[in-house]
Amino acid sequence: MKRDKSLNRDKMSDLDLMRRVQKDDMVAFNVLVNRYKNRLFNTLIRMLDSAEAVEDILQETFIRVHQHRMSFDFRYAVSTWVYTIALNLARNELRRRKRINFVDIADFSNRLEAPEEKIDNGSKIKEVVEKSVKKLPHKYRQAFILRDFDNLSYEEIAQILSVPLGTVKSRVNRARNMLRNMLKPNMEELYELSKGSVFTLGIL
Amino acid sequence: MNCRKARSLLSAFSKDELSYSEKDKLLQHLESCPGCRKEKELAEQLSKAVSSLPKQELSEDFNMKLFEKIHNAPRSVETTRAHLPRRAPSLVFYRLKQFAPAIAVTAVLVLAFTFMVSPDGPNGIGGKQIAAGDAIQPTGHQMADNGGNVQPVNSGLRGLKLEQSMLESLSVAVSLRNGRILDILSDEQKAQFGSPGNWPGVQNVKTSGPSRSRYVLPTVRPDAGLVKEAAY
Repeated sequence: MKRDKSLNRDKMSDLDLMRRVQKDDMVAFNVLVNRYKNRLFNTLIRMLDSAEAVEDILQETFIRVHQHRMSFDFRYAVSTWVYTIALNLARNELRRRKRINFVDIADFSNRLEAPEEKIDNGSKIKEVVEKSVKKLPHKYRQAFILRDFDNLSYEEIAQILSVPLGTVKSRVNRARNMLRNMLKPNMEELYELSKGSVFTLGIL
Repeated sequence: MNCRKARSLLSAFSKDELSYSEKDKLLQHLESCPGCRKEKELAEQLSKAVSSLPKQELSEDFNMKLFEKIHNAPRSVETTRAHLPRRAPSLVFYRLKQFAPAIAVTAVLVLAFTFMVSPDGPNGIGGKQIAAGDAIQPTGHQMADNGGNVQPVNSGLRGLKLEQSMLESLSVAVSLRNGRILDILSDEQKAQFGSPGNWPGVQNVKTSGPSRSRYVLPTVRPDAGLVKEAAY
């Protein structure tokens, strides 16, 4: 398709981009992909733990977005649609893994080498937080990641996960409290480290 | 506000998601509770730590691979459906959905129980499931029971489809309205009153297949409206 230079697609809203995608504007589709690919990657990597699997899921997500572009309902946000597709694919992947019963080699060796998590430096703090997030039960982790990492509104999350608004709020709050309790033993140490760590000085 | 409630609100407080009144109550509690104040600090640290976790980026050739796949993808419609966003369900519907299997099982049990204790007996249409020799008394209002004399009531037969099972011992009247078995005659009663085909009002006898005879009233039409009007 011939590129129309008079249009600045980067500044277009998601819905306007989607209208153009429906008219087979691949440049608009590319802008849409760029807008969501890294957000989704960071969301899914915290659920699936494998960059390769996440990349495959994202490829499939955008292929489906493109294939089903004509069935997009403009009453909904594009973000909701894209997230719904990606999370459903991620959920299928998790189910498949559960059936096959994968053993994460990295996790296994970590367990052998470090039976107890100790905070050594600033980067370790990030690791501990990341690991604790992954230990949350799936439904709480999902809601927590969408809210606190992706900054989606509670209403959007309710639509994406197909659960009532109150349930989303309660899951997010529960996840935050679980995480706080999980990290509590390390938090004192974290607080002390914050005085000397470059990372924590930046955040605390 | 007690400590338990206060601590459950701390995460939302650190994200500024509390209502004005909740915030006010929490702040009042925090003023007087050093334990919760410490917990609040932890919640705030955690909130900041989470939001400052590094963001990763996809490989640079992601888009190229994607467009290649889209270009090579078959034009036919996929068998798998993309999940379209749906309106978030109401809490009531969500809760009902969670208990759907339990509700379904209960409903089946209740229906089965109702059917078992129903005066019409646990029979299928046409009397197929009725064991020969079962002594089932006529119970429907189509049959007037006057001191043991069961008589078919002319008006009551209107709107009925009558079937006789091959068991010979039983004759069955079936309501066209809802398929319920209304009257079952025992051998003795049948001998007394004859075949439903001889009942007054029943003029048309049709035999459908080797397994059953069907007696159809001439006034009965497969039109639901007319059947409703018939006197039951």
